[in-house]
Amino acid sequence: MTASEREAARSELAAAENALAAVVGLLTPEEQAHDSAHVRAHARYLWIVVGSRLKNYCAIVGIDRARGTLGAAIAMRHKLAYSDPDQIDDRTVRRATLVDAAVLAAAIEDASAALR
Amino acid sequence: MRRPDRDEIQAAAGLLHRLAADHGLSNLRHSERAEQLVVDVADDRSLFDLVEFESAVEGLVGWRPDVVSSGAPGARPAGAIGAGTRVA
Repeated sequence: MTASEREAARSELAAAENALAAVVGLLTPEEQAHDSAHVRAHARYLWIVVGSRLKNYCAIVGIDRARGTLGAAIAMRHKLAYSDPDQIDDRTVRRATLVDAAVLAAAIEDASAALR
Repeated sequence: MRRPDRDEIQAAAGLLHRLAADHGLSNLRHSERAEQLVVDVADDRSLFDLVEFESAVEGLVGWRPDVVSSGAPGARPAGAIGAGTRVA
């Protein structure tokens, strides 16, 4: 991997990490109290960003088919981006934010560390 | 990614039920859309589990069902898949 590829990969992981932090931040008590359609749509969008950035990262480092939690995040991105909106259960998106985001954040940190 | 038809889904019923249970999914049903499955998602499971189930199926049979939670507003269940399923 060239230095520029390494930098590009780090950039994608950083962007994924930022988007992940943003979607977790939507679960503030104030946002939960509203649980508006706007918040739910914002969460879906941020998860799409997370998955897109991870997909880009995988392309840069040469991972054809990501496995584990990175693979799940990329698959979730595809589902959110290409499903009709009424085919998504927002409860399952919320649960991903509550439970899976922390595991994914750790995986992203591990991947970033491997690029140093 | 290849999507299944209804016959392929029915033929793989046993496998689908086993894998679904591993991912906290249950009550598998056909959908009005041929390539879709409608499932109940356990309260402690997420969209990650749903897509991981899809990936697990694809890894074994070569096609990937479009799995929809019964809690989605547009879910349209249309009959049980295989024997031994609960349909509410």
